[in-house]
Amino acid sequence: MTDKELLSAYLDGELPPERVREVEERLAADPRFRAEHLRLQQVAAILGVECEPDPGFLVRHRERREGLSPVRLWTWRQLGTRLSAAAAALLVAAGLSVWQAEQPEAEPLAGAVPEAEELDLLAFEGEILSAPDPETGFGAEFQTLAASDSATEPVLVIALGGGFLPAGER
Amino acid sequence: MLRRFRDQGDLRAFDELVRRTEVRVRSVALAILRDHSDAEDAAQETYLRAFRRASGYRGEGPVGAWLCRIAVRAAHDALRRAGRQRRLLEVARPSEDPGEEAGSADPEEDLHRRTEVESALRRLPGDEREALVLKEVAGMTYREISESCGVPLGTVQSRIHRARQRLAEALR
Repeated sequence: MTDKELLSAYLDGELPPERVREVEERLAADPRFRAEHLRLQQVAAILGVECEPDPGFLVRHRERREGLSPVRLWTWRQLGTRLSAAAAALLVAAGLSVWQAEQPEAEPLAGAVPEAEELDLLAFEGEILSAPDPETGFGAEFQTLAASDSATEPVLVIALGGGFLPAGER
Repeated sequence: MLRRFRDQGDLRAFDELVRRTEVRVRSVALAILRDHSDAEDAAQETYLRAFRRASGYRGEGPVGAWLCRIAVRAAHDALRRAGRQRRLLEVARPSEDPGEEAGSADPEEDLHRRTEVESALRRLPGDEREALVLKEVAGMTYREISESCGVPLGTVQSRIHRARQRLAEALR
């Protein structure tokens, strides 16, 4: 460490106690060393300005920051978690979209219970599970496939109303 | 205080931080800009940056050091914007008395010296000026400056030393 470096560190209070003693002894004994020290002190004094406390500063700061909000900075870890969640959501949405596109188109149901006139047609399109009572024409059961709104489970329609003609009269 | 603001959004905590540190932050800005009005702007800019980027404060080192570093940057930005290379001492100073040891009997000579040193200060490379101001004005230790600027301790020491020598040359 040169003399100037030594003095600089001394002025900064960054020397260990034994070096401080060494500098102070030299300052007492060496006029050139002392002159250099004074010069560095002058620099420090010129730089070392200190403002007075200003109570209005905080008021002005509040005015300036009005309407501002802190910027949310994410750590890499937080960012990674959020990106992973977004990617997973995107994948699920894309999968659902593809899956729906691959399903056969379903016709809308005409009503909860078909009209009697439609039963022939429904029976034709579906599968008759049990024939109606020959006396009353009640109790026909059949499963329709085309009118189902569910891709996995056909709708079971049980006709309880009258008006369904026995097979022999059709 | 900054942590309380960062974690809980407590504005009163931020106000308290401003109140406690404004003298130091304004002094740092003034040491570089040498003008009260410019220093006020740079100090205000410092707190706005701190307010917006509080989540970037990781809690390493004292918050005062973090603010002083922002103040140095804000002051450098102000210098760049203004494109000022040289500015003579013409305005009222925060401290007209440079100190017993440093002062001379002749006020004109003092003014001349001050002007020369300030002029030299402006010509310093940015990293040297930053290190010197953080040391001389903000009162930070070499270690704090090293951590704050992300450079080795020896680099801080040599930057301060070089800056001081350049300024001392102006006094010859």
